[in-house]
Amino acid sequence: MKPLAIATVALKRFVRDRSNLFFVFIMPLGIIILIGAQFGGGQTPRMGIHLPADAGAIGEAIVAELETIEAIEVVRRDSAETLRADVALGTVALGLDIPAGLSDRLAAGETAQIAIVGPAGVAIAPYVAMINQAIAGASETTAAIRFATARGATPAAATAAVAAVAPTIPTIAIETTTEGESLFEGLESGFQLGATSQLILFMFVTGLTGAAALIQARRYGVTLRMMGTPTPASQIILGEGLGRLGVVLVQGLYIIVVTAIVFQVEWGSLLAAALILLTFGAVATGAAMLFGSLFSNDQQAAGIGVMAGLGLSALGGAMVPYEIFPTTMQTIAHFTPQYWALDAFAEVQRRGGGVLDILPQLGVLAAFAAVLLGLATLRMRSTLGRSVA
Amino acid sequence: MLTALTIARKEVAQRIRDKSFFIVGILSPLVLAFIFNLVLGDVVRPSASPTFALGLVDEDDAELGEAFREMLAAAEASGFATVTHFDTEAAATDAVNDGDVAAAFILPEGMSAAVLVLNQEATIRIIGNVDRGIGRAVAEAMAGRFAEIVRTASLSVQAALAAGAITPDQIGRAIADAAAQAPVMTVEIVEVRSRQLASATFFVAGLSMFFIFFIVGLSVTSLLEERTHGTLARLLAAPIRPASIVVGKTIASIGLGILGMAVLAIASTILMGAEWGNPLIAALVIVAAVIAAAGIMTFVGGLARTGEQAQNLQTVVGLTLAMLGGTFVPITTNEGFLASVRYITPNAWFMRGLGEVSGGAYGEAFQAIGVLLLFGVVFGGAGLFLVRRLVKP
Repeated sequence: MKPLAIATVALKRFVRDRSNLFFVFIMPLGIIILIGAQFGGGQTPRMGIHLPADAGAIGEAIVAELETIEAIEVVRRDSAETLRADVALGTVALGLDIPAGLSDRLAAGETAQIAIVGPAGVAIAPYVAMINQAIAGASETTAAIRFATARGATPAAATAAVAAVAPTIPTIAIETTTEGESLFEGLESGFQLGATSQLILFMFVTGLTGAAALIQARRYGVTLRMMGTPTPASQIILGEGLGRLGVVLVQGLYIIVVTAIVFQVEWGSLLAAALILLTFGAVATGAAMLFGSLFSNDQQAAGIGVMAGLGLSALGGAMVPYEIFPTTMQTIAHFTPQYWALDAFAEVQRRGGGVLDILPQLGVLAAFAAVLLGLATLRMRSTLGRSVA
Repeated sequence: MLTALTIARKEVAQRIRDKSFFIVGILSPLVLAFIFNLVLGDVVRPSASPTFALGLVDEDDAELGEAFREMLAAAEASGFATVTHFDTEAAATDAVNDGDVAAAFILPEGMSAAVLVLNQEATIRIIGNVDRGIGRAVAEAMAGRFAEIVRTASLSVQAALAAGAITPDQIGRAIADAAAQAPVMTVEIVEVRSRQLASATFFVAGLSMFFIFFIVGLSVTSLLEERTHGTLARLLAAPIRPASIVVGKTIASIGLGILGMAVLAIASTILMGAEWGNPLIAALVIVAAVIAAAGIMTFVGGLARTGEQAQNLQTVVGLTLAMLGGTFVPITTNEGFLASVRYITPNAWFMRGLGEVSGGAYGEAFQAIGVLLLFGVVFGGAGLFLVRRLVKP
C-alpha cells in the first residue's frame, strides 16, 4: 500500500506542473503531425524543369516523358535563374534547363545541349539516367529525318517518310514487376511511422526527465521525511519507481489512443502492445532512477537526460527508420532499448504478430529494465537519505 | 555601466562553475549533432554517388543482347552500376528477393530476331526489389533508353528506305550506321554552389541554436530566482541603478551564448569537419541569432512570475520554435504549410543565414542577419519592458 501512496504523490506532483502536461500530451502529437505532413508530401525527390514557352513540341515531349516516372516529382520553374536558386537552396534535388527554341534549332540541324543543374558535391547520377531516357525518346523523329537527309532524301520527303513509317516500327516495351516483401509494409501513412517512433522517443525522454523529479524530492527533503516514517527504503524506492512508471505509461497510452482515433494508426494486438509499453516503460523508469541517483543537480540531470534520450532514440531508429541505416549503425542500434521496442512494434503493427512473436524482443527489454533497475536500487539505497543542498 | 559589468562577470563565473553552461551549451549539442550526423547524415544529404547493383538474364544471345551487355559494361566501367549475370530468371529473382541486386533485366529469347527481322514487338522485363525504388527507376531508365535507341535506328533505316535514300540491299550496313549516328541532343551537367549547409554543419548549427535558447533564457530566470531568494531586494537596496542589474544579466547571457556558439563552431570544424563558410560573416549570423534568442527568451520569461514558471515557458517556446524551424530535421520544400510557417522562427533564419554564407550568397546572408536582429530588438524590447517591473525598488 505504501509504495502506491508514494507513487500517487509522485504522479500528483508531476501533474501539478503544467509545463509537464505540454511535454507529455501536446508536444508528441505536434511532432507526429509534423512528421506525417513531411512524409505525406515531400518524400519523392523533386526535379525542377524550366521549359521556355518557345521550346516547342520536343521540349514538351521531354517533360511529358519525365512526368511518367514515379520515382520523381516534376515541378515547373519560370526561369533559369529561379531554377538555379532552387537547386542551390535544395527545394528541388536537381534542375533541367531546356534551351529556348529547342524544336526550331533541332529542325535547323543543330545539336542542342540540355543543361542539368545539380548542386556541387551531391550525387545526381540516377536522375541523369532518367533524363537521358527522356531525351532519347524525344530525339527519335529528328534523328530519323537527319539520317534520311544525310543519305540524299529531301527534308520534305524525309519528314513525310518518317511520319509514314513510324507507326509500323516495332517497340521494345519495358515491363516492371516487384519482388520481395517490403520492410516498410504497412507504412503507407506517414502517421504510422511517426506515431510509433515518437511513442518510443517520448516515453524514454519523459522517463529520463523524471530523474530531475527524484533529485528535487531529495532536495526539498520529501525523501528525508519519508525516511523519517516507519517505511523501509525498499518501499520508498518501489513507490518512486511506480510513480515514474505511471507517468510514462499514461503518456504511452495517451499517444496510442489518440493516434488510433485521430490518425487511424493501427497498433495491432492490444495485449502485445500493452506488454511492449510495460517493458519499455520499465526500461525508461530504470534509466530515470539510475540518473536520479547518480546526479545531485536536477538541472544537470535534466540536461543530460534529454541528451541521452534523444541520442539513444536516434541510434535506436526512433528518428529515422532503422531500415535505412548504414550497416555499422544497424549493428550499433541493437545496443539500444529503443531498437528492440520498435522492432517489437514493427512485428505487431506491420506483420500482424502476436505476443508469442515478440517474446525475444520483450525478453531483451526486460533484461535492460532489470539491469537498470537493479543498479539504480543499489545506488539509491546508499544515497536515499542524503539530503542535497 | 561598471556595475553592470561587475554583475555580468559574477553571472558568468557562477554559470561556468555550476557546469550547466558546459552541459547544455556545448556538450549536448555537440554529442547529439555527432550522433544525428552519423545516423541521418547520408539520408539528409547524400554525397557519394551510389553504385546500383543490377542483374542480367540474357536469353536473347544475339545482336540486341550483345548491345545491351555493352551498354551495361559501359555503366559498370564508369562506376555507375555493378552487373551480375544470371543463367536463369529464377536465380535472378532470388537475388532480387535477397536484395543482392536492386533490379534484374530479363532479355527475352528471340528478341533480336523479333525486332530486327520480323518487325515484331518485344518486351524487356525488369524484376525490381520492392524497397529499392531508385534502383528500379534507374534500371527502367537504362532499358527505356536502350529501347528508344533501337527504335530510332529502325525508324531511321525504314524511313530512309521509304524515301528512296537507300536500297534494300544496303539495310544491313545502314542499321550499323544508324546505331552509331551522333545524338541530336546531349546533356551537360552544370554545377551550382549549394546554399544549404552540409550535413555535419547542419546538425551542429541546428542543435546549437536549439540549446542556446536555454543559455540565454537564464538571464530572466536568474532574476526571478534572485527575487524569490531575496537577493534581488538586497541588490536593489545597494547604491546600484536597477537598470544595471538587468543590463548586467543580459550581457552575461548574450556573452555566454556567443561563447557557446563560438566554441561549437570551432569544435565542430575540428572534430566533425563542419564548414561554416566565411568566418566573419558566419560570426555575424551567430551573434544576430544569439541576440534574437535572447530577445525571445527575455520576453517569454518576462511573462512568468517565478523562475520555475519562466523556465518551463521558455522550454515550451524553445522546443516549439526548434521543431517548426526545421532545426532537427531539414525541411526541404518551399511549398505547403511547413515551408511557410518555418520562417516565423529565428531558427529557420539562422539556418538560412548560415546556408547563404556557406554558399557565398552574402547579400542574402545579411538579409537573414537583419531579420534575426529584428527578432531580437522587437522581442527584447518588449521583454525588457516586462522585466522592468521586477526591479522596481
